Amino acid sequence: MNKGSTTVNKIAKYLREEITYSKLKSGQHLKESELSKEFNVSRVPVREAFRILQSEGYIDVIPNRGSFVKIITREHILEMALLYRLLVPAVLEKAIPNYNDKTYLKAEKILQKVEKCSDMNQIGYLLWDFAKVIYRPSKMKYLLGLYDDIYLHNLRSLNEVFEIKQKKHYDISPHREFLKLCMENKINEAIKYWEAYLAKVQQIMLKDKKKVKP
Amino acid sequence: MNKGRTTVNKIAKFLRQEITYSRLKPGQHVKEAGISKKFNVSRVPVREAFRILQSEGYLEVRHNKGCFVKKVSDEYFIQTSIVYRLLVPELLERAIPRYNKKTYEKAERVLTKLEKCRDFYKSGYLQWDFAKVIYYPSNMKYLLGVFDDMYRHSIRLLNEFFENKEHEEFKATSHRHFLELCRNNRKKEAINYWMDFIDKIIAQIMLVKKIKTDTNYLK
Repeated sequence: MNKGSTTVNKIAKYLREEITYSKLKSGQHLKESELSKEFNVSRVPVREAFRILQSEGYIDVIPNRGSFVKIITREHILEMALLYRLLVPAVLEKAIPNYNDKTYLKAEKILQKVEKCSDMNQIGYLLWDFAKVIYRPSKMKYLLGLYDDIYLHNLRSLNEVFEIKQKKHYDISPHREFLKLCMENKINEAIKYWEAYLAKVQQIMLKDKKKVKP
Repeated sequence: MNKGRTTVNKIAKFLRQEITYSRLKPGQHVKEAGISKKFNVSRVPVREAFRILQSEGYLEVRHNKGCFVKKVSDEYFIQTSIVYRLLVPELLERAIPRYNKKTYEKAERVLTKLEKCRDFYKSGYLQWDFAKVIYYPSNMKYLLGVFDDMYRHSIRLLNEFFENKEHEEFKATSHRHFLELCRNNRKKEAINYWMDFIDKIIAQIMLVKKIKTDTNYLK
């Protein structure tokens, strides 16, 4: 069991890196048989790894045809970015008043991890964790579900951007500034600040996407 | 096959009415055996009807416990309303310039059906059809998926709303006015008009359902 899941994770990690570093190109066919040969395992863990990567938005599994590296179009990212930005004020309006000591402690812990993190496959996940900490206190389940969906589909783009932009470490001073404003109970200022920051990040993401696009 | 379908639809219609008119109360257990006895059929069509009503948000299946009348959560309504209001201007902004003769023809067909519709449990679906006609030309696939999801889960609410005789005015008149503004290239006005219309419906539903909220994102 444990060995099995390790194999699955190994294959998944391998595929993630191959896709993120664009050694596997968008739209490329991924063959179960080749991977199972390469890792010297049966097709079962390969299939399981495909399933994980599918849920993370790295690949498309098309019935009867196989698995393909997902093509993330610029339009797709634009739409998600739009939804993300539109929802932020409505969610933060509810969330910030519910922050307490634990919220700030959790947020700080994640930011420290980001500072130490050099594995760019992890940064997307950490930023997702941070988003959870600052949005969840809104208790708006439906909206939070939409956010989770957006993160799942964009982890790869996030990772790609950080790989391209931040050779060393991810700049988290905007996150700290946002938290500081919340702590000082300057809710409107905090929301405005966070919106401006997101607009900037999304701009960078889309600019890079343009370059990456064949 | 056809006979089977009719039975399923009959049972589904019966259950929708019982729930809408509160003869079946929120949280009440709905038993397969009782329904199959009442309609003198096997449990198969009953189960199929349950499945349909589950997808429309009337019933919820609790694992190993059976089927229960679902309580429409106020929170879900509030949150979907927020998302809906935020997205509509963005979609229409891109969609309206792409309307063509076919769009208006399709819209008119749906509206004619809406006006003739006397089965309240269909009006929700027809309103959804109209939404598809006016929003789909935006071609924003991801956001349209979010919209479809919201409609899918709000059919019960829409049915209940448009079934109410007092809400006759909401059925198609405003839709026609909106289309007229679009046809005359008055995009800004059309969007504002449609937003006002949506706000009116949201306010009316909140009034009828006694839903309260302090969010700044719903008027």
